[in-house]
Amino acid sequence: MSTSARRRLLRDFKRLQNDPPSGVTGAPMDTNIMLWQAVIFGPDDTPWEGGTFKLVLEFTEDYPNKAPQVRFLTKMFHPNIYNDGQICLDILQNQWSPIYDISAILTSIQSLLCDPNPASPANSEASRLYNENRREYNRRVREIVEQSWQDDA
Amino acid sequence: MTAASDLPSISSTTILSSDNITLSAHQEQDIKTRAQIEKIENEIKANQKLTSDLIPITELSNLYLDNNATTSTTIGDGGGGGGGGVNKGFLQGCEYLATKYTNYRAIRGDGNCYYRAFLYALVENLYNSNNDPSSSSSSSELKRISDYINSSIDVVVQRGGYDRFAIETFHEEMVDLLSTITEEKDKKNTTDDDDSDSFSKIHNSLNEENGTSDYCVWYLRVITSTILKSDPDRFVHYLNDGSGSDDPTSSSTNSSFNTYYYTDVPTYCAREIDPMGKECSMVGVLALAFQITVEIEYMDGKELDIKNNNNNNNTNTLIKHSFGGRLHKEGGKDGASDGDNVKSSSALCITLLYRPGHYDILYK
Repeated sequence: MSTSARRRLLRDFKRLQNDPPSGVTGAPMDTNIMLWQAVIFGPDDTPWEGGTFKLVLEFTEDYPNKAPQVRFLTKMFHPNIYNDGQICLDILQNQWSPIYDISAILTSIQSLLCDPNPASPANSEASRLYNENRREYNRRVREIVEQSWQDDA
Repeated sequence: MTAASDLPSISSTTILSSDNITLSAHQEQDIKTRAQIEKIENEIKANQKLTSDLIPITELSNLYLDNNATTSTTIGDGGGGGGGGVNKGFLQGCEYLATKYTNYRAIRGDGNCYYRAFLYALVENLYNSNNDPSSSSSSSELKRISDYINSSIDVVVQRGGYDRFAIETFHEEMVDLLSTITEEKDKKNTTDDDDSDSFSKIHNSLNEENGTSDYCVWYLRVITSTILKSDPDRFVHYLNDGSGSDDPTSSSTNSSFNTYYYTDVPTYCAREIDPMGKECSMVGVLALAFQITVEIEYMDGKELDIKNNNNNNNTNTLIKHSFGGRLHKEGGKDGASDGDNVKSSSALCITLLYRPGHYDILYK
């Protein structure tokens, strides 16, 4: 059973290819199936629209009993995302369940973008602006979206 | 919109939440908390097998002798410390257990102990179930449980709302485990191998890290959730175990410390049953007692009333409850019986020992 994590990751990958969820993509790095790169596209009709946000997912042999480490590589401005890209999301921490495959992880992060959880602020400035000055918050998000294009260049 | 600082619940990530704390300190705290949790988990992993070998029941009391009072690592996720008064109750309980049972099997205290104890005891029971050749019904127990598990995948997809793709690996593992029992039983019947040797293969596979035991434990969680979700009206009033917070609106996601008041079964399942490492509450015990009888001896450290020995059986014994057994015969209704009720028709009966926050397996 030492390869159970790898077997599951291969299934996740096939699933992602055969039944791709909208707005997210992901694939393992060439040499290592335990390390994935993913892109989340900012959902339409939100301040995040048009953004392309890169992430890296690191799995251990404990997967899927343990959540992967997930981190944004693109600079973000969001109440639940730390400056170094770490994400404060319940299903990646104490609410993790093997029910979540990579599709589910990525779509959950995508919906977190537009639906922050004010109970667990990771970026206090983003959290404050989100609560007190939504217009300024949205402006900062648009800046991040534009920066995400430069990262691609 | 509620400001974060107004929320009543405390979470590991918001414990320092406030504008006067810098971001780095906040995140540092979060990282430290997670590192500490991981350290504890690794210690438990290194010191406790998933399911131990048989231990004489007489050794149980060693955990409660005064010089051991503070070493809680040996007894799983329930703390063993406490004053002499508490230990006295435990020691009396151990003494009582020694009159009824010969051995116990320690289960790793990682929050999965109930499910893991249930799994191991079920497997062991099924493996031994045809030792009595005079009873034809007992050997069919394995087939009955296998049939139930084989067909359960459709039920958990339809009624539990699970994604077949995400759970089929776990289902397959459970089906494989049951086939292994069948194979090993056949071998045992056709050869003169020593019993313990042929079961040791199963025992070893149930002790592999990230392997069969974890996969099946999680599948048992899925079954538990599905049973709860299939009959929410029956279970919804028992979700909070009396430990929920007073404020039904309070919620917090990233917290191991907060309590959460549950008003619906699906949310309860998503937060308390589906995640690995969440302890099984009474409502989970009740739901999972499917198809077999589960007896639980409750040793909570309360002093037993020895004075009334011989006069009243109930005063110097631990409280024992039994749950479930062949629920499908009654159309899935009527779960718990209080011991005075009709005896279960199932030949399968597992006996567990409860100590605060932890379950192990008992052997007669």
